[in-house]
Amino acid sequence: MRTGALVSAAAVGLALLAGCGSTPEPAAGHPTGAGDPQAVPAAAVPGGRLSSGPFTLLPTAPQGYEGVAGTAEMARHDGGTTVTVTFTGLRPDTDYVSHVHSGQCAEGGGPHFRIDPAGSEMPPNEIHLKFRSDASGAATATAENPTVVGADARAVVVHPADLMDNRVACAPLS
Amino acid sequence: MRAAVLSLAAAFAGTLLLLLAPPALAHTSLTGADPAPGAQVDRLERIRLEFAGRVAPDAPRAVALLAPDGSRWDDGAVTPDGERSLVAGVAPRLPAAGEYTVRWCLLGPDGHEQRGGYVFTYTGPVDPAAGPGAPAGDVSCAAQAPGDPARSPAGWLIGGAIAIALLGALIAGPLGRRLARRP
Repeated sequence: MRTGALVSAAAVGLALLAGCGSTPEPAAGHPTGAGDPQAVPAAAVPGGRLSSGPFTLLPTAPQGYEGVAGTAEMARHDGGTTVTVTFTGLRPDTDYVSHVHSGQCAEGGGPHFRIDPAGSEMPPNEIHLKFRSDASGAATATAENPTVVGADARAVVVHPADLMDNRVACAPLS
Repeated sequence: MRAAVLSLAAAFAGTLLLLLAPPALAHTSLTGADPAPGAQVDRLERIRLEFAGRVAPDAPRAVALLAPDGSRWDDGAVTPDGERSLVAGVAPRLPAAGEYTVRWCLLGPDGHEQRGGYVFTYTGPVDPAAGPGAPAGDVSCAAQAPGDPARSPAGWLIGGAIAIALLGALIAGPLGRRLARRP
């Protein structure tokens, strides 16, 4: 009987391990809808505590981005966190992605900011903004997150959607 | 009976050791490259990509170098260089100066595919007669077999393994002692 109990315990343990091993990871990439054109911009959120900074060119930008400029704004409020980016000087009619990062702009922004550092690389555990520039190279986008993020959300970086390693510009959130 | 208890304990210990083996490449990202993203270079003999996480020697991977016209000019060989880097060979002669594109992918042992890409500018010697370059095609690791999912390095999996091992010890320990005292 005791052997039977031990075998059962072992079977439960192995079943748990098997379940863990086969849990699928989320696919790489960005979800659609990260960045809501109807959202209230960070600077206009009632009661929001605002952090913001200007975008400056990074050495990893492709050639031709010398004129990039813009602002990142982050509002922490009762409903969570709102992030708004505004740009000029991007390439016209081009898809871009911005992420909130946890590093300093002097280091290129460092890794993506995560609410749970051991958690997913996808929203809502990270803050992503997807947007497209207009014919003049201007763009703006806002993303909302239900969590009031901590002080390690330090910077916002932008890169062309299809060239994720060419970080174009970085803005500190201070 | 005692042997059964001991073997069960050994099995738990073995499973734990397997799961605690150094994780290879969980969710990695590019931390450096040569040529660097956005750089201007006049020599191009290889492409070196450095990642945040360890790259398993047998990890499915691909690196493509695309000329300004979109044709492909890497030599198809991608080899590990240390624990965190990959090196891709480049064709001996390049067809044009201008903006070149690197596209890469790397499959982790948990089947999680990382992808990236960047441009840099090449201003070195060219041979317009070189080539023709191969069609670019799709740079993908997905067609290759994923690694062993049992070695997924996710933190909760390790935590779960520890919890299960402790549970096993709790069950096996007192039972083993009780069984051992039996005549």
